[in-house]
Amino acid sequence: MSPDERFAELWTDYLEGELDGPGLTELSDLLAADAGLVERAADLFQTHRLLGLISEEEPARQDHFVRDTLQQLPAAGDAFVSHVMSEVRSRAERRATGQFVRPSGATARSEWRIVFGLRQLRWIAAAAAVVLIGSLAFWLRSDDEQPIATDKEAPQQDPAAQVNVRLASSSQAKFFGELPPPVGSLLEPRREYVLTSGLVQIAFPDGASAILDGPAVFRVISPQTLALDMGRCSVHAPDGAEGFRVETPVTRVVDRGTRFSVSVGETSDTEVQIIEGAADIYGHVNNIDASSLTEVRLTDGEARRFASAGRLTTETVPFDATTYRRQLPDRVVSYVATKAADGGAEILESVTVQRGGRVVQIPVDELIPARLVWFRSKESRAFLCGGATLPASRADAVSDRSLITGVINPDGSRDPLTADPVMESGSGTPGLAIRFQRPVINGPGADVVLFDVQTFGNPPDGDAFHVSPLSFRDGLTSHTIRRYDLTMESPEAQVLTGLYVCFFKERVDSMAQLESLEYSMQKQGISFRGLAVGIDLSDMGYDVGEAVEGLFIQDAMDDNHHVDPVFIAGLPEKE
Amino acid sequence: MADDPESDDLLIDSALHRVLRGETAAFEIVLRRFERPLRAWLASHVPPGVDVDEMAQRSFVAAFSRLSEFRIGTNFAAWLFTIARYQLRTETTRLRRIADYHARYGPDLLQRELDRRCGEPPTMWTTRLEHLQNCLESLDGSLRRYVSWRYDEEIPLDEMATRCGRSVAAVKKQLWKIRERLQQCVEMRMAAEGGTL
Repeated sequence: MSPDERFAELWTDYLEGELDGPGLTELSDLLAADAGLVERAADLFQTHRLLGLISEEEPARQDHFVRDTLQQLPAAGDAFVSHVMSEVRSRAERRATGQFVRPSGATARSEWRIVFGLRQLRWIAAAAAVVLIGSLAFWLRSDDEQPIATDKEAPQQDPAAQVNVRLASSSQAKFFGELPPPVGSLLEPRREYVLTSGLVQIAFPDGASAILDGPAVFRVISPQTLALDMGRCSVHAPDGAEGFRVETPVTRVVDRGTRFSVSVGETSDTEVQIIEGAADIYGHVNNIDASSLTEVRLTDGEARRFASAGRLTTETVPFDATTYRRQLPDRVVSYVATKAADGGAEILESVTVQRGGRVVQIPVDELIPARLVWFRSKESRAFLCGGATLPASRADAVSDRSLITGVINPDGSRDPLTADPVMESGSGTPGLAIRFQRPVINGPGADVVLFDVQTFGNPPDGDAFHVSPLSFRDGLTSHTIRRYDLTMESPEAQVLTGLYVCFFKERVDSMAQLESLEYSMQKQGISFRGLAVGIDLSDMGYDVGEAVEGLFIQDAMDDNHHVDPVFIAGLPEKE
Repeated sequence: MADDPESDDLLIDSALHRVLRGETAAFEIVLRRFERPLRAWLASHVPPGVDVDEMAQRSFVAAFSRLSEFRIGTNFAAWLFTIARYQLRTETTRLRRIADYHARYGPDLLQRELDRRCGEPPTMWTTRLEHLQNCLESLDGSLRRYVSWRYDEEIPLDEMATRCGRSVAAVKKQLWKIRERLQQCVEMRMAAEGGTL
């Protein structure tokens, strides 16, 4: 047996974990005797390792790696919060040691402002301010706050399950330093949640619900108590949920069967507006026992502001019903898709939307298919994406149910259209046009859904695009969408199965060219997510009940990324 | 989709700014962008017995923790790979100090050769990974099943032998041939691109 043949045997045994001690010595000796073999062994070892990596390369696996790594990061995030907290404490200490001097004639209220340095803190960015105020409120809480889980019969139960408060829904919610919790998930009791933008609705076990508008800092204290340290919430406590409470830094608002809104400013001033029913408001300062302090009952149509500056002050403010939010905006809520072998989403099965305030799940069979009728891009790039095999007609890539096949990267215009798009080869309007199989009737909320493939190198809120009528008339305008309902940060935006991208060597100037020009396919190594947005035809000026035959879509050309539609369909008329 | 690497850099820079402002979640953008190249590079260089994912995570966490030292606008990838190299060096040094490491895990010369290759451009390993994927896809189905058994299902050699009705020795020979063929295929593609090992 030649040394090469022996190396092959020993090396294979080595990679298969079957090489014993003497074998390893023999392999080491072979390598020591021939530098060329060392290189070969290293080559083969590296290829072996990469083969292992390829077998692991599936979207779900990569997603797991990313989330696992993110979970290992909080120490640094904590350090940031600790830094902010140390700032707060040091300011408070300076107050205690008299370093902050009350100006002559200043009121206690203005001292409060000085101590907590609103003016001095203006340089801090908005997000940091949210954390700071939230952290301050947290710090001001006394340590003797009642524990939430007192059920000694069930000491092993998860505290979150005991409190049983869930995130019921969300709309474009962004949380400071973390991804939004998935809809339906239990919220951790007493944990500080910092909603930097967007909206979330929280459901309490007795039926009460609260909609929080970002920016807001809040905590779930108990099954009947929400602490709002900053921001605005709209509470609905139906029959059976009386006694539901909202704690703010200066008040405790106790529901007496009502709808009300609570707004807490950066200085902890609290404004309560009663929309229906009544609520009792107890004032407190620095968490001194509320029962010994002011109690005010407000009934519908009344509003009052509470401020604390050493002592509680209240003043009547104009009633403003618009401060109350009855529901989250109409939007695409989620979707269901089949899973491919790699665990990624592939074929759309249904889409759940909120239309006119009502959440409905629409099977894909009931959606109104849209067919691509025009495509133009002024430069060559990738214009198709999909699986290893594309649809026979490339135009079908947008209308088939696959979330990975699409006609992507159309050109567009920075300024939206104000006149009818031209759809003639050679001088056509850059962008793409679709026609619905049957007219879409403009109803409440979204009337058309658009899915887009996006990866983490792309804008996280989705690729901005203009949507325009195919035929303008008085009252009709283009509408620009810059933020999708389901963004890269939405837990409901699913990781897609692996996809290929088809690069065209030439620009595409017509549908005929889209169907005929050659392309080269390249499998994408990175994972993509399926983003979604609802298009409300009313935003383009269509009348309620008006029938719409098709739409023109242009990239907004606001960056180097282009919209990548993989599925567009009309929603059926609302029953 | 992006069609400009510069916009990728801008997005990374923007994400890094957000992380520095305390928005930890923005680090996900960095993770998604560099997860594959970093794992490909580490897979090709970590010595036997070391978990690639653990090393990759350690590198990302170190980069996150020391982000204030990074000058945004400069080459983040280069900085990240420098951290990964440092992590790798620390690990290999630790392994060398384990008395029986080479007796258990592999020849010292192999580890030294892998060490030597650490200086090569990290981007090359993403390219190699892509070539290997293409080579694998071009492999005949009857051979590809061995790769699937070995790397996807990770079944023992005797189980492979039972499935294909051959001896264990024949399966080993087949695996050797497949690995050699894939190796040659990758080398040819790299050479065609002007890449070198």
